[in-house]
Amino acid sequence: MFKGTFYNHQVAAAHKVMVRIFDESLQFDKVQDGMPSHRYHWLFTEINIEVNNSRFMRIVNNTEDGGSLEITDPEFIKMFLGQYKRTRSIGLHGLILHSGVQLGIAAMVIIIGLALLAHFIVLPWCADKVVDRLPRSFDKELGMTAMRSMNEDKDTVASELLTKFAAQMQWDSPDSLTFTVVPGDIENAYALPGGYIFVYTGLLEKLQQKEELAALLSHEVAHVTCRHSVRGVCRDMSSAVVLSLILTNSGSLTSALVTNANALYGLTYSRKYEEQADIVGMQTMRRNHIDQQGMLQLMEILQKLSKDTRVPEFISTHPLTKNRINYVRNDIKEHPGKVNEHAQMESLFHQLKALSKK
Amino acid sequence: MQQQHSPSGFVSHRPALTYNGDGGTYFGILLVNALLTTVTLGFYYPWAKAKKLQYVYSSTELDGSRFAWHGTGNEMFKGFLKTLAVLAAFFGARYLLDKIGLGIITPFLTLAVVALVVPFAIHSSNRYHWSRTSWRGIRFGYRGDRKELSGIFLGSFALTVVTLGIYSSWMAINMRNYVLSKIRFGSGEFKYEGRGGEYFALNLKGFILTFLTLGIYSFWWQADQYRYLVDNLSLEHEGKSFRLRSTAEGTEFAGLLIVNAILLVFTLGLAFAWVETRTMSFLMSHVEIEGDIELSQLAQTEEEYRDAMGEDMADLLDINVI
Repeated sequence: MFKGTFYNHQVAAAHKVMVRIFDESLQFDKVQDGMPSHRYHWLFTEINIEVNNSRFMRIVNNTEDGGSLEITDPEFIKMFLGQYKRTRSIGLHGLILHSGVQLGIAAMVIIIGLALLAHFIVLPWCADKVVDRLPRSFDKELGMTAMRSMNEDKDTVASELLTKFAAQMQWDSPDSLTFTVVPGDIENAYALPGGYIFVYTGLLEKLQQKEELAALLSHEVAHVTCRHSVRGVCRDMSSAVVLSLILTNSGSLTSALVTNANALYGLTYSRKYEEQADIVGMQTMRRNHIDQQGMLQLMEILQKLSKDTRVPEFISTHPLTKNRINYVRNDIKEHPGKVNEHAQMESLFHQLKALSKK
Repeated sequence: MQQQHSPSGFVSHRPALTYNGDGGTYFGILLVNALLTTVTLGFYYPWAKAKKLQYVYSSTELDGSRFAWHGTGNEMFKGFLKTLAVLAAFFGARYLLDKIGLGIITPFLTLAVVALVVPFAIHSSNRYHWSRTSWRGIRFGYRGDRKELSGIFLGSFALTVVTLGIYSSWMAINMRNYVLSKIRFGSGEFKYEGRGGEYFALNLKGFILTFLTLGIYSFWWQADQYRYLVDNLSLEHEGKSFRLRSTAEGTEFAGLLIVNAILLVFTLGLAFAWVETRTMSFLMSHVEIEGDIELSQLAQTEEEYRDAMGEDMADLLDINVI
């Protein structure tokens, strides 16, 4: 016998009752002053239950002789659920309500684990698969759109020279490549999907050897052939969809935190792409019998440029030049290559330099 | 229940309002909700909402008995589908107007739809919400009239626009006076008696002092607003009444909100469930109820209303009913 409170759904009077649990039913007597006592017998099949936690539950019976019972005795709740569960399933929420914090936290750890797994492993994998199926024309279109929106100036003469320079090398790329020199002090170069390579005069001025320029172009073309931008876009898009789904359920503060964490993670991804572009670029150089030391010299120039702005690696889009120098050096040691003269490239390089000095 | 026999022979009761939820369990519920909502691409939302409300209501205790929420995911999902149909019709109409070259009147169409939809959402979400709320098996109810409500809403809204927002305090109170006074608690009737002028003065003072104290006064402003909501509310039943009073002070609000903010920041938001639980517990424990109503005499008078369309619309429009 367990204490409970009964309400008859007609007036808000609370009746203290003693409840008995049977195999497939409940029974209690309502005693009221000056009235004959009334016995209630509720079958498990005619009741609905609502478990709040291990210290409160409500049993509702909507039949003619119904009403609701509220019970705060943990012993009753345990015993009743033991009986009731055999006839009905209790569901995921019921389980959590009943077991409280521990299960909640265990579930959270598992869910967060699964979410992380999905976000960091499954999603990028899926995005990669999607990219492998996208036609190359998609890259081209994306690159053209990006190019139109950036609308960079073009140094026509220098661009022609650079194109001739690049034509001296064999590129293992399914895209048609376009090389452009952009006037500007920025010491940078970049590649758009679809084979659009841009080099700023600021960086050209800093280069001393034709091998360095060859290394730079090899690196940028590797971005294009590996379709890094498209991969990045697909990855970002899929993770944005998942994040927005999760974040609709949490406060704005959490969303800010998660979004920032995701941006930081995106950076480590772009560093991985950079490293791959370096390695693939070296392959290109070997195939063309160009001295791979050019890549090392390029790195050293970049290191000098970045001396004044030291960024910790975890917030940088590129691997630290020091790391890059290390793995490039190792790669050269592992794959020594034949070196040819390339007189034509040498002369083109000097023409380019002469042009940028003006 | 505490009882005090006053000299005049009235029996005075002070039923306690308490919140018994615990953050851990609530966290578990929100977590499972979030997971299922994510996995089902949002379609679980109505069921998630039902689970959450069920827990919150059952954790709220008045005079030793818990409140109950009877709304179901199925009802709210149907409401959601109807809401979608209305939205689709609206966007379809807009598209057609554009197509046949009557694009100029789309702003008017939008305005007309908003003018219709907002009062409709407030009205029917109140009907649904209160009908699905009960205490000791006695249902609450909302007996407002949609046309009257629309009139008050549109009139107040027009004045708010004309006065560049100054009238918004009066508008809030007009709506409260109407909606809250139409709420039934079985045979009991709620009354809300606010004055727009008082509420405006309260907000003006709050705004100016918050500005002058660089935000510090905002806690006291919040306490004032809460007091204005609670203290003007009363329950009447057969000539007897209960008055409500807020005992929450600005310093207490400051304590609550500052700790909440710290909890959220240092747990990256995971403490959300505990923060809500603390807040709920704070708000309820600071309401004092006193009067001579015999709660056990409240009788079942309100019908059931299962159409959740307004509830879903109000959700979509981000209108808070309670």
